[in-house]
Amino acid sequence: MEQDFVHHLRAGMGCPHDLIASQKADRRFAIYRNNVIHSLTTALATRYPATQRLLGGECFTACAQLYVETEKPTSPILMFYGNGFPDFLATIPSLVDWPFLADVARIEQARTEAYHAADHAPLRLAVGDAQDIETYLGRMIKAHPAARVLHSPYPAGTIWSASDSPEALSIDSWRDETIAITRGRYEVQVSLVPRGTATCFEEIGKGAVLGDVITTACNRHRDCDAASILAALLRCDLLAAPQ
Amino acid sequence: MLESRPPVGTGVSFKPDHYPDLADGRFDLSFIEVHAENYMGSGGSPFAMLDQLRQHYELSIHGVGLSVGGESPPDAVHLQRVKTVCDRFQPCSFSEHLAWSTHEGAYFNDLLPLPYTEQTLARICDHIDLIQTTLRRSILLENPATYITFTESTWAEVDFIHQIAQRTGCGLLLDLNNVHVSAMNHGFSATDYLAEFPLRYVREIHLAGHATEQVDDDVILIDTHDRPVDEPVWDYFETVLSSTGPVATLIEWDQNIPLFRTLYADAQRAKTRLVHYANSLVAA
Repeated sequence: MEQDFVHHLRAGMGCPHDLIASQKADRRFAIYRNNVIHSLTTALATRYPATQRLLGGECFTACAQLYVETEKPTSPILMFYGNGFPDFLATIPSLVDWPFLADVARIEQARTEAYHAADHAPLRLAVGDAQDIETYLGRMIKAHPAARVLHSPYPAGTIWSASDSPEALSIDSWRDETIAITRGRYEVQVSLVPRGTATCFEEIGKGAVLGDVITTACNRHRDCDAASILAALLRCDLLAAPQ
Repeated sequence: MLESRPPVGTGVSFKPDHYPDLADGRFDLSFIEVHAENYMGSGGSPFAMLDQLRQHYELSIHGVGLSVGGESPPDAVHLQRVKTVCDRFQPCSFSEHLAWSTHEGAYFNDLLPLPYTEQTLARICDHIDLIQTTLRRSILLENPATYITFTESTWAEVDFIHQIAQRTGCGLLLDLNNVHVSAMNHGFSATDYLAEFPLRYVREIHLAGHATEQVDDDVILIDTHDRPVDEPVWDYFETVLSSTGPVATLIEWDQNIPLFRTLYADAQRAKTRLVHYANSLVAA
């Protein structure tokens, strides 16, 4: 029964008449199909509100429906449905003039992850306490469970933050941005950080000592200095306090 | 084994928009209800809100993802997630639906209907046994709102549900909006359905709103949970309470979330009726 039901549901065809006893069964069966599509596009709209505002409701719904047809949820935890949506947006030919959109969506994807991440105290160091800083530079420090860092070749962070009123958006310098998504206690924050922070974050994931991680980042990005990267890591709560 | 039994009184389905209204516990509610799947992250604001609300109200957890009525057993990983949520938040009740939503690993995010046969009855009882054994508590099973019926069904829905409750020891969640929606869609009498429903197993009642769609002379009611409870549903509430006396009653509202005072108005209306029937019992 399920196999036939699902086949007809997915194929967008009428109902499996041999299964169903109801009058006007096609119309009634279509309610289930509409419920599935509508609820999943709504889940994407809930997770990607800035993307929806930038695209406009109609265009977003069309993109979301295309995605829903190709990517079915594999879990009932719908708050994490749509992890592939940013990559999917990047493949839509009619959005070729909006190359930044996928990165704006990636910020929103990271925001959901940060919102639901495990609670953990961030690493906070006393300002100006050189001895404290020196101690931590020699230790392996883990990333905060809520922290994510993205690099975009576009000003995706600025566009994301202006999505409430995109008509007023004025970008003086159309340049790349590195974006940190973090959560203090409960509220998710999106901040622009130095480019080397993204490299730093990758290296932290590999289990290196904090001082070496920052040195690697500075070597890779000559326009970054260690002090500004360390300041960003601490200011944005990107590091977890040791337990 | 723990029971699932929300306190006799009224509750509302909780949405984060209403947290500022509910956080200090100033409203006359006995419990709140949440969807289990919305609390399957690892922490943050959702957990903190529930911890705060549990200071003031009992918590009922309502699952939508175990696919109790499916051909396959409930997904073991998801069942463990439900257990984790129940262990973490210690609810007074866990409930699920007489429906399916998962097929070969794909999740459909709707409560899909099933035929009522000996085979599906045995299967659902096995699934509920598995859930109850894993959670170490009896659960409540909710009657569905449906838009179609199946040629192969050999059981009436009320008898099917009665058998499940008898065989598994689960309690029942009677959704009166679902009864009204199904009755209108299939042309049966909701009053007759309720007269035959095994009310002695009912531990919770759901009241909700629905949409009406009409094409030519064909009217379909859709279980949308996006508006106030309709008058016929209030009438059925009266019918049931006159037989059962006061029962834990939830106002469900999942879309087009209103101001809290709108939701609370329906909860207060329900509370008035519970008090009326409690007083009737005392007088008798």
